[in-house]
Amino acid sequence: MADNDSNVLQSEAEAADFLRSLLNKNLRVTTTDGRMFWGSLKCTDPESNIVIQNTYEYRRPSLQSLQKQTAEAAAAAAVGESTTPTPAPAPEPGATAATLKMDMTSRYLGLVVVPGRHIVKIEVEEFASQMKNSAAVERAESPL
Amino acid sequence: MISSAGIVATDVTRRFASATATLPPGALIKDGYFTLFESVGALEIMDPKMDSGCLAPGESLDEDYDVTRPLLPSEVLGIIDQLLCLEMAWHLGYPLSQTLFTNVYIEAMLNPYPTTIQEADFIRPRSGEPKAPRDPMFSVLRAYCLGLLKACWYVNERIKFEHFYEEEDFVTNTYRRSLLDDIDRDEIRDEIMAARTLVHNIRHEISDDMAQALGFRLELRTAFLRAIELSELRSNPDSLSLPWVQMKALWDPIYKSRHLGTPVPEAFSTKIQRKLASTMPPRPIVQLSFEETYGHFKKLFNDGIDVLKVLSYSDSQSLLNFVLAFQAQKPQPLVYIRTLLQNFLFKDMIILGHLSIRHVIDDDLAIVVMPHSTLLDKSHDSVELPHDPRFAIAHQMELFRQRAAQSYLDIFRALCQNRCRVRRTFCHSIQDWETVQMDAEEIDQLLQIQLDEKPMAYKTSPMTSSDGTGASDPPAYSLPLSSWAYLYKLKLMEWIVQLGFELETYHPDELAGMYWYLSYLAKTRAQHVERIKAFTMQRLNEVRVGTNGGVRNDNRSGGFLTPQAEAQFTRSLSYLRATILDAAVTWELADALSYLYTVLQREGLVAPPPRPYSTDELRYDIRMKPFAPIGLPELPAYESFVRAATQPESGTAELLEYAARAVVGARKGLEVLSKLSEKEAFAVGGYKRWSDGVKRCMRTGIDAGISIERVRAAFAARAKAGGGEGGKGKLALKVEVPKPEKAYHEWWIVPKVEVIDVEK
Amino acid sequence: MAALPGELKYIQYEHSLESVYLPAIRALISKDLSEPYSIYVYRYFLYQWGHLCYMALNPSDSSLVGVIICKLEAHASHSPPTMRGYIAMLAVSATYRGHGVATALVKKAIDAMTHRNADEVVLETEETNIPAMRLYERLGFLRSKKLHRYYLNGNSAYRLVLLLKQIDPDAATDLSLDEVDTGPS
Repeated sequence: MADNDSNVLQSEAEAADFLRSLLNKNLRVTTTDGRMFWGSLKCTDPESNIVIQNTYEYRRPSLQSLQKQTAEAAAAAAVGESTTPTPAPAPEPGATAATLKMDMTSRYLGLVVVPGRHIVKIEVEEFASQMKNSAAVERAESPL
Repeated sequence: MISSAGIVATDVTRRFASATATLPPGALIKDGYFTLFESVGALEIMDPKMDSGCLAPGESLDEDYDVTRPLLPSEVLGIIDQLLCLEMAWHLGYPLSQTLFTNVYIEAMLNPYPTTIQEADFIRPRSGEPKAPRDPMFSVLRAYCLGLLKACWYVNERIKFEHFYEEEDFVTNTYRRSLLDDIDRDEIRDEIMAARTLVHNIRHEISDDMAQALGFRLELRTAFLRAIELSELRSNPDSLSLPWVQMKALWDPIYKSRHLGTPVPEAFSTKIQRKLASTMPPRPIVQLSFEETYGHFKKLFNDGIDVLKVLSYSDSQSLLNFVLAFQAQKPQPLVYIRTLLQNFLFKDMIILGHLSIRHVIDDDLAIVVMPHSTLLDKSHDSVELPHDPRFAIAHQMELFRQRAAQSYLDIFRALCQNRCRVRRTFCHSIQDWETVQMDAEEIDQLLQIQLDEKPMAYKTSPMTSSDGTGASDPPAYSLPLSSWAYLYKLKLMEWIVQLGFELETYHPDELAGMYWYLSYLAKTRAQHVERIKAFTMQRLNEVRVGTNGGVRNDNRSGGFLTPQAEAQFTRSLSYLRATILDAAVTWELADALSYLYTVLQREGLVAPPPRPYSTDELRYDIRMKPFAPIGLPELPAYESFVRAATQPESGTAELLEYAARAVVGARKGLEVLSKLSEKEAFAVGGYKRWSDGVKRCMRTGIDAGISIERVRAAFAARAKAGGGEGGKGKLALKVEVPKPEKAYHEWWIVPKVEVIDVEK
Repeated sequence: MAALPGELKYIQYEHSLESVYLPAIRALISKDLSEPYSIYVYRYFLYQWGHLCYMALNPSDSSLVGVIICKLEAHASHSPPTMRGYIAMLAVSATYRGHGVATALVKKAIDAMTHRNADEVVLETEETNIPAMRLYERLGFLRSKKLHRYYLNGNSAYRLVLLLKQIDPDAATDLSLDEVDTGPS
């Protein structure tokens, strides 16, 4: 996966500025087991252990339940069943909406720590309209 | 897969990692408003001990269990009995995630959220499809679960509504699952009724025993819902207790038919926790045995019947004694029962469903300090002339009630909490009562002018006066309102010390001092009640001879004692007498134990730890911290406390003699107490528990007597062998300070003294 | 119970030791805990109060034998505020128990807190943890209150207090009996 920054080697000050610019932004953190955690960044340390708040866990459904889901698709659609189990549906991370809304199951976890060694991907969410003002994420439209 | 609604997600994986790598060890990048302290509660993802969503390799989140598989009657029974165990574990304070929410049928019933009774099913009907005939066993299990979950909803709502401590007493979290919130109780009752009929109809196929066993369990659910429904009425205890009595009657047959069930362990799984919205780490299923569950439910039903008795009000002191003794039970009643009690007491600020707060406070004032007093005359309320003393009296009394009501009711509310909280709450309450007492004294002084009260030369009783002479004090006013407040403050202070024994807060080498302090408080209380009694007696005499001062034209101040007035005085004097007795027993028992522990400490049989980082004085400061701000009675100076706890002036034989005499005194007092009727003891409605308490104190006295005699004998033997009181060597005794739960009474920790056979 | 490998080394924690000892500290402490702590629980204490963390090291290979983690801050609900020390975690490797390692660590921590002007030191301990209670009570701690069902496993705790200085009598009106203290211990 292409990272959109060129200068991976940063000065200490630049690095700290960059990390600080991400504070309170919504991150999507994917872990080694394929789950994705969506919450706002509060803290990080030299090992990239990150603390995120108001976190929701998203998980791809298993093959078994996908098959079951397909089989029941018609009926489920008829009664408006949702795969989101909470009565008040969790706010979906905007970008995943189209393709994942039907598939991912989510639940609220609150404040979590994701250890750096289990992180395979970190994405930061920003409003497109605000991005030109952001020094944090250097431009170029996101890949894909 | 990126971007919608104007939000763009950018991959910063590598940049993030390289940025954090430049941070020096121990450095953090942190939002200024976020304190690291908050992070203490955070769950760590991918740590199987914390992350309930973390799957082992090859493990799947899906349940392997098929809720549509046919169930044998014995399996339904087995599942129901397991649910009973989990329901009790929830009542005991474990979260739903570790108890009922580990059941796959319940999970299937509650997820997705059921909004109608039809949807509340683990096998959901397809919309539009006609309801297919189903296995009767499914209907039985479903009906049982409906009744169970609805009862849990009511219990949870009741607890949430009352004062309790989340997680400490009970976990009300439902993890964003419903407990059939939207489904009507009557609809559920109909389903249970239908299931009961069904079971009856197939009794020949499944055997009579099985049909009966399932029937009992369904009936239990009906009765539980009924008990909850009726408790909302707060009316006649006898009619409210019917469903509780019914549950109690069902409980033994349920227990005895448990062998008919077959456990279905695969229908319970902690995997379900992974789907619950939760900040809790994954926790195991709480497995109570059916025997333990049996005991807890049995107690729940008994307490359910018992707690209703509070609704028949007799008088304010019986009410207090009821609450006190009911909550002092070991084990304490379950949180649900305790919140029911709170609900009965306080709901809508109407005490027990039919009494105003004023009614109860006035009743209490009449019992404790002002029987047949013009101050409590309700007719004064209608006096509208501001210069009429009766107008002023009514006004001042109302000010007082407003000032005192909260503190007074808080005693009852505090007693409904867990025991640790009771003690801590009382530590705050005494400061509150200190100011109530001061404010009350101001009102007393205004009232004594209105009543034209003459001061009385009050003679302190020789038995309890500090110098033992019974010297006359200068003439004093009765100060009834502040006297009332002072009495509660003293009682609360004693309770704090006594709960300290019950909760094992004191180290054995503190016991001599703490029992001395308890004795000091009880003596102060006895003295204070003697004072109240003297003023009450004087007023009684005045009423008798018709010289009762105060407000003229008062129909109560006639020159003779009406039967009502006499009854009020009798009741009050009987209360004062019982209170003095109780205080006397308390100080005698406390003295006995204090002297005994002093001796044991002298003899090195109760030894203090080395404590290199502390001094006796600093520890006294911590131990007495709750009492330090109290002006009256003032906390004894450290030096006087040390003298009292070590008795340097008295010889050991002398101390043992004092201890033995104190035990005799206590036992005499208890003898008299034990003969009081429920009315005289102010234990109407809770007499049995009250007299059990007296009995346990009597056994404490006997126990203490034995220990004292053993020490005396060993001491005498050593003196004989070594010549004189200062005989050398350790006493041939083994001393053990028992845990409070092993004592006859948790407030009286009598040391177990065993004679060691020195020959061996 | 193994014999001690000679005189243990007691050293104060510092951030430069993080990569060597933090994983070992976590491993040692989590072994004894019914309730797991995230890495940030350790960060919380060590970030500000690393100097109140002491480690006992095996002299032969400098491996971690025991550790104590504390904090010290103004306790606001008193007026004037008191300096309250708090012993958050204490652990000794099972192999080396019974040699006074825990006591030595607690003493070092109390000394360090006293040096930094602590008025008192407090902690919570599980009611069933008799050895811990005995250890602290032998040093001079007193049980000040019991905390009902304080732990996730349903056990209650005692709050233990060691007063290092006389309480200011004017400040005694505020008892701070019910404040919720930091969770872990």
